[in-house]
Amino acid sequence: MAKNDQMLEMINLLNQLLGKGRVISDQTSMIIYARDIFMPGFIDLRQGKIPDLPSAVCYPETSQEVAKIISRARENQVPIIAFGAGSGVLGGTIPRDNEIIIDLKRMRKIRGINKINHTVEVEAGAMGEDLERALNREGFTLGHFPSSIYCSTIGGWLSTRSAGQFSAKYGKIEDLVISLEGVLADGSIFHTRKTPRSATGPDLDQILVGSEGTLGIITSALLAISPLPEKRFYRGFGFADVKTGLEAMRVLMQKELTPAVLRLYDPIDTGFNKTKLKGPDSGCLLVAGYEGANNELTELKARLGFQKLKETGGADLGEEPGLKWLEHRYAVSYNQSKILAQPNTLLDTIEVSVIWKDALELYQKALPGIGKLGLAMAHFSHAWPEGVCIYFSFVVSDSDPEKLREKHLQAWQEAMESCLSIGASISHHHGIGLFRAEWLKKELGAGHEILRKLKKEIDQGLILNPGKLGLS
Amino acid sequence: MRFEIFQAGFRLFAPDAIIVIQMESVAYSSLPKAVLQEIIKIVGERNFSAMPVQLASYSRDIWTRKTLEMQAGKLPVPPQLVVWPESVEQVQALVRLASENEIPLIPLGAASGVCGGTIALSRGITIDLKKMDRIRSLDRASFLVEAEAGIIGEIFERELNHQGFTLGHFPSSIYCSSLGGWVATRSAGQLSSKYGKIEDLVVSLEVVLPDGQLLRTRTVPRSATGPSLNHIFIGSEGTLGIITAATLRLREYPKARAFQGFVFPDLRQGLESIRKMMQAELKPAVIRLYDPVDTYFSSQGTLEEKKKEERGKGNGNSGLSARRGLIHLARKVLPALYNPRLPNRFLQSRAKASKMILIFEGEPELVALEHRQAKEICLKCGGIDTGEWPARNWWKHRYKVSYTMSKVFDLGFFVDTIEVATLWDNLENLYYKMQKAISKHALVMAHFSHAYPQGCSIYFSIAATGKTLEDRLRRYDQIWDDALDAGMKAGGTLSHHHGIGILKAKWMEQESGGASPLLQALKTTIDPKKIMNPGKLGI
Repeated sequence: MAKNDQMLEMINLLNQLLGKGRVISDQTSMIIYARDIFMPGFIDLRQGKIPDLPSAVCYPETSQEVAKIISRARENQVPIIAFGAGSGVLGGTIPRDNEIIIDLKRMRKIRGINKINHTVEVEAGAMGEDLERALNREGFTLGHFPSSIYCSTIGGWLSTRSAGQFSAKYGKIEDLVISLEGVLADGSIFHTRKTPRSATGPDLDQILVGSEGTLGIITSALLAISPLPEKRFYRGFGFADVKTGLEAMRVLMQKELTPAVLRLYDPIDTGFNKTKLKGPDSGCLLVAGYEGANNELTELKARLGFQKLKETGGADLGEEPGLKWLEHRYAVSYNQSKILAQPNTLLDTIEVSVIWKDALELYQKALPGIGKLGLAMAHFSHAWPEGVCIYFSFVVSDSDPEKLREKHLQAWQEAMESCLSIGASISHHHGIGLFRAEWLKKELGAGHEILRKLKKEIDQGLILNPGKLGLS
Repeated sequence: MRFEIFQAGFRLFAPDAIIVIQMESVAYSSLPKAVLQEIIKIVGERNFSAMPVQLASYSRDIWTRKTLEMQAGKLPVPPQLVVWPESVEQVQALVRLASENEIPLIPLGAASGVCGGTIALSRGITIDLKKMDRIRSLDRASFLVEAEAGIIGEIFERELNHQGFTLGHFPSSIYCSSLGGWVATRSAGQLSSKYGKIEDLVVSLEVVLPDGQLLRTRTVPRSATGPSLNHIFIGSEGTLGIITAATLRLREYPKARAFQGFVFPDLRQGLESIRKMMQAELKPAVIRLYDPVDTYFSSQGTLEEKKKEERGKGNGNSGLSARRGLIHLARKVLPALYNPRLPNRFLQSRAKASKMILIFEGEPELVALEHRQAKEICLKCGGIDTGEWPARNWWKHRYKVSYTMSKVFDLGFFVDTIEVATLWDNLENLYYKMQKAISKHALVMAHFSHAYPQGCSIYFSIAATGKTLEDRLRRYDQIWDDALDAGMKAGGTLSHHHGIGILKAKWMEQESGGASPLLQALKTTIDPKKIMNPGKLGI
């Protein structure tokens, strides 16, 4: 799209605007910025193929600088991509057309922790773990713990509608947003109102959250925080099968006995957990964890909740499986390299969202479909009063890289088509990026047309992260 | 409702007479005849009217300014036609027809809005959705209900109660507001501190877009599939499409309820205790703190009613509301309202105590614990336990306030309410700045009735008058201008739950904090012909 001379002009402008050292374009760095954790990218990597590279990477430090970059990019018709930590799994930040990457990691200030309002104002480039630790030191928590917390940013969370492992209590990231600061695709800087709720037209925060850098660039956010929990109660339960386990989760969520963590593993996933269940080995492990700063309330909810889990068919396995989960809760994301190091193997995860009525049907439909192509398992890790997230994990193998790629795609196809036919959502919290775009169009129907037109109106040169969310 | 009975009577005794009247009314309509004929084809001969008397009744909502204008003899602009579609297909056909002919459309539920959100600017067709009032499905496993936009709140809630559920959404307009209206304006109910506002209850929507296409968002708990389509249409006040149905989260009908009253020596202590409760994970269903002036008037109302009851003339409404106290007082001191600075200064300096009402509901053991902890927090903050009665009494009369307004206007003064919100550390600042701005023009009091861990709403009630009707209109505009200018400057939001309509449109640019190009882009792309509810939301 962008011509070479326009691109050079743009890089010159960036050098003038940001100064030396805040714009880079050497090839090694460009290769590093060319990919995220989208799994088929590893096939290319193993073969030594160099993916499409960005033209340059720049590091703005203020919203004003981001606004200037967007304005210059509009004038020069140069596409740009907002970038946090590159830990997305769907190609949401990868270049396809010599884009310039706007890496926001230098905008990482924690502007203020407000102990009266229970809010934190934090810039988009702050890393999750850094923010959480800073909050902990002041006696607070964001309550947002994606397993990528060491390698993902607040901006990335907001752009993709991220979920943390404690979502049952604290909600997803969209539930924590009070207000946003950023730059729209037309170059205008905005600060939405700092208010707990309002009735002032469509909720612009909720339109920008999840927009994956296609409508504007979020530079800072005011988020709700909670007092650091004092007491924690964890417990493992064994359930005969997925059906009874799901039923127990549903009852718990609908009885106001909401835990912080609620996870059910299907029989194969339970096997990988290496937890001994009482009774038949084919059973399912459920982990429930209660925490909170209100000790009495937490204790009461935990007591009633554990009791309810027993009443609904759970065999009490004691504290240990719960504490074990807590200890290893981030490990899974950082152990994948062992499998990915195998030349013929690929693993991936697919998280979908479904109401309780259809949850078992979706699981039973999608799992065998994925299972035809390799090893497939699932856990149910984000529960809501009206439904649940099914998190499929699968491993496919083939000595032919192209066939491996094909098998991976087929597994996705099985899962996505099952969601679309049942009326579930194709993504619960990983987002869309490039890879899910075609299925997104099917899920949103007339809604996708609205997003496409909205993008065209606000981003007339289509320069912001083109092609992501299927918006081009 | 009365018209429905009238219609039913007609159908019984002269089944075709109503049709004859409606068909004859066509002659009055300023719409092109060809368009009218198409409309009749779409909705049938019973489901439209151009009768002047009906159009007049559709020319206003409960916006105080319109009531004052009518007192001044100025009739609002009526729509050109009212239609009552009975299905989504009919709504789609109407929208297509209006789009082809570029005729403005005004979606309407029960017209109990207070900001002019459903009134015609100069011309247009009002689409009344009340005949689309079915509960389409109740999903007992997922705790979800899908209902059409025209269902009236109270009927909806009662049906859910029969099935063992509650929506938990109780605006005081519940008898005269519809589901579609709630969603279109981001309504809040009296129990919002536990159940959330309507936007927290919506899981998916069915919307007829301005080109006639039907949009159905996914019924899923959460998703990560781009911008929230629901949040484009929730609060859009009919400017981006017509919401025809919604799927909402339900809760089990509560098994237990606990009532508690408190009085605080001053407002700050009361506010502090609300913040502490909300930040300690307590979820009171009702939490209402009345400012000292409101507290003073409520006690006046209570005394007045109690006296009546003692004389055997009571109607059992003792302790109802500050507004009753206000009416009582205004009768005696009406002249004081011509210059409200003095009574405001007097009341604001003399009244100190703040009354609080708390109600917890839900699972019995949780309710008992929450109730006990709430009491502990309030006592620690300096509150005085006033027992169950104040809360029980409020509960008994909780909807009455909305239906006692007309008396006020007959007495020659007017009332209105201004609801805003902000974060906790700015709450007193916003309250005092707006109170000061309003005090010049009107008697003012406030309560705090929708609380969150991060902040709270402020609900100002105002009463004012003027020597002539023109004076009253002038003063009315001054009140809003000064109140919202002060509110905006102090960092509050324009509206917590009444919406924008025409009344607050001019502040929308300021409210958006620079993000208005996004709102404008939504309008331009979704409704390029600008036929949907023109002039509302300032877009």
